This record gives sequence, C-alpha cells and structure tokens, in this order.
Amino acid sequence: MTQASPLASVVAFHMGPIAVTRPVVTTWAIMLVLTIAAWASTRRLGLAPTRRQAVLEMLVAGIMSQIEEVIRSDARPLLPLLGTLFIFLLAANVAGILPGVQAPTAHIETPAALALIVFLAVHVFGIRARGLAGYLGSFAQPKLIMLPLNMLSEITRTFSLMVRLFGNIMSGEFLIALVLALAGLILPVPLMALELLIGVVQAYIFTVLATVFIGAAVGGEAGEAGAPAATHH
Amino acid sequence: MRLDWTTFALQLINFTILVWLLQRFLYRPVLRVIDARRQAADTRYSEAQRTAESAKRQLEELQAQRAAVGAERAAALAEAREQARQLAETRRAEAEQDAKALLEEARQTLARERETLLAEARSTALDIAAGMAGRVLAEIPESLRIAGWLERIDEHVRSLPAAEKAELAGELAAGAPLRVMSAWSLPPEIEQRWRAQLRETFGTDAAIDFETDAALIGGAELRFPHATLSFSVKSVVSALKEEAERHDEPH
Repeated sequence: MTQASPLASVVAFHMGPIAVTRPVVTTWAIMLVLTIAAWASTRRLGLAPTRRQAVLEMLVAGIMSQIEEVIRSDARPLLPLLGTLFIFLLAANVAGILPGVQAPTAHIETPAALALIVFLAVHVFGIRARGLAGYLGSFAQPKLIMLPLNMLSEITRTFSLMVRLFGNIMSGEFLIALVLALAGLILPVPLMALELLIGVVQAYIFTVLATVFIGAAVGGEAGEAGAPAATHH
Repeated sequence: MRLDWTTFALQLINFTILVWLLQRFLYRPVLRVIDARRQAADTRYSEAQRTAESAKRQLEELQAQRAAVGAERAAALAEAREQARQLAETRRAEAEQDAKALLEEARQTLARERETLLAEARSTALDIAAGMAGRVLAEIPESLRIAGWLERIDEHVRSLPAAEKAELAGELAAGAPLRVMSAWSLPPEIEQRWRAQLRETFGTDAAIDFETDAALIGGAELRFPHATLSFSVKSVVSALKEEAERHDEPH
C-alpha cells in the first residue's frame, strides 16, 4: 500500500479535467472573504471617517508607508500587487489555525505561484521604470563579470523567497499536527500562537523582500540600502 | 515532493484575480476618499491661506488708514493750535486795546474829576476867602468899610467914556431909580454924600435908593435899569472864579 505524501495537495473535487485541490479551495474562500470584507467596508466611505473606515485607511496607508520607505518613491503603482500580497499571505498563513483548514502557503504550489508573480513583477516594473536596455544593462553592474552572478541571483532569491515561506508555514503545521497527534488537544495551543506569529512575520518578510526586489529593479538602490535581513527558521 | 502544476496555475490565476478584486473594492475606494480628504484639506488650507492673506491685506489697509488718521489728527491739532494762537493773539490785542482805552478813559475821567475837584477847591477857597474877607471887613469900623469903595466907584465912574456915561445918565433921566447896593446899611451922612456925588457925576436929579445885600460881603454896586457897576468883594470873587474857570478850561 502506497502512503500519500503529506506534502502533496489533496484533491477536493474535479471540474471536468481539472483537479481542484484543497489549497485552491481555501484560496477561493480567502478571496471570497477578503472581497466581501473589502466591499462591505468600502460601501459608505466619507470624508469624516468612522472607526471602521479609520482602521481601513490606516491599513492601506500603513502598507503604502512601508512600500514608500523601501522604494523611496510613489507607492501607488505597487500598492495593488504588494498590498494584496501582504493581505493574502496574512490570511493564508493564519488560515491553518482554523480547524480542518490547511494554509495554502503550506503547500509548495502557492508560494511558488507567488514567487513567480514577484519574479515577473520585478522585471515588469524594472523595464517600465528604466527601459529594456537600461534594465538589462543593470545586470552587468558594477562589472560585466557580475552578469552571470546577477542573473543567478535573480533566480536564487526568487527560489529562496518561495522556499522560506513554504518551509516556515509547512513546518509549523507539521509540528502542530505531530504534537496534536501525540499529546492531545491543549498542548499545541502555544505552538499555534507561535505559528500565528510566524505567519504574520512571514507575510511581512515576503512582502518586504518583494518590495525590496522591485525597488531595486526600479531604482537600483533599494536592494542595497533598504533590504532587511531575511530571517530563516 | 512534486509540483502540482494545475494548482500552481490556478493559484497564479487566483492571486491575479484577487489583485484585481482588491484593487476594485479596497484600494481604489480608500485611496479615492483619502485623496478627496486631502483635496478638501488642501482646499481648506488654500482658503485659510487666502483668508489669512486677505486679513493681512485688511490689516495693512487698516494700519495705513490709522496712519492717515494720525496724520490728519496731527494736522488738525496743528491747525487748531494755530487758530487758538491767532485767537489768543487777537484777544490779547483786543484786551490790550480795551485796557488802553479803559486806562485812557480813566485818565481822562481822573483828569476831569481832578479839574472838577480843583475848580471846586478853588471855588471853595474863594468862598472861604470871601467869608474870611467878610469877617475881616466886619471888624473894620463902619466909617472905613465903605469909604475906599466910594472913592473907587467915583474914580471909575469919572473915568467912563462920555458916551457911556451919557447913556447911563439917560437911563436915570427916564425916571428909573439908581439902586446903590451895599453889604451893610450905610450911615445917613455917607448916604447923603454918595447921593450928592452920584448926582454930580450923572448930572440929574434921579432917584437914588440905598439898599442892603449881605451877599456882596463888602463894597457896593450901582444898579442901573440896564447895567450894573459892581465894586464889591462878591464881584471880585466872581471875577476870580471866572478867571480860575478860564484857567482850568482845556487848552
């Protein structure tokens, strides 16, 4: 008898030839909740904000402020991508706390998809800001000999982005599952709180690193000056 | 571990859709209201700046007006001072003129009063002198009181021009009496002698009456119908008074 890998995504149902896995279903649920929450929260916005509107504006303004601190320029073009990245990762990372729900980021496909999107966004924003020749020329900086290393760095850092997120979230869920299986219901609670913290931190790290990569591609300086040190677990 | 490409592709699509959804329902409305608030704040700030500038301009205008009012006030004060000074000078000149006029009037009044007093004093002195003369004459014996006067009268009448003497004689010839006035009653022998001398002088038999008038003080008067020859102390005093009055008259 063959034991299914715990790292493999469980198929929830099929839509014709397409096998829809549980992370996808969880992602759809998260999308639905976020969209409904956003719609409900922004239905009646006014110049004089209510408490809920103030919190919403504080969230958006805080994300923009974080982006601007890194890229040192207008954050509005990057807000939809980076803001959604942070909000989605926050929701996806902590979704594993809910009973019977697995965090989509605990499976490699979701971090990989997000890392690929960041990888593509870096180049799109870099070319848009500096032009194709200018952007490609930046890979040969400061010396031409750095070209292969810079190109390799583009791939490895994206890979690192993906693996860091996947590893942290996956390991946390595994640890909780193991402790739950071995010790019962109460003992995993501190670990779940820790996992909650790790989920928030990883969402922040992933978003900030994506911002740094895009900022470096756009301005060429943020990647050196503003990049915070990535934490590894 | 292997990658589920279907899930990978679906997650790519899902995230892209989520980006669009949140842009549509979250970022755009929130940014719109933030921009609107910022624009409203900018508008209010601009209005406040305009209001402040307007207030500043009004303040400057008020300060300018206040300065102009101050200058006008200073000019009005200077004009009022000048008018007051001119008025004071005019009043002072008028007062000086009035004082001079009053002084002159007082001097004139004083001079007149002094002259009046002097005249009265002279008159009084003459009256006193006349009284004293009367007292002195009263002490002289009766035979001597009138003798000298008769001689003076006789001498004067004799020295009259012939025409005048004839005119006086003519008055007596018409029947009118000659009245001989004396301060005291004359003894009969003296009356007799006088009557004889007067008839001899005027050459007529005219009636000659002797009468007494204490006011004469001393001496006698010959009173013709239309003329009087006075040789009395009274006439001397009257002459002196007239002389004094002529002397006191302003030149």
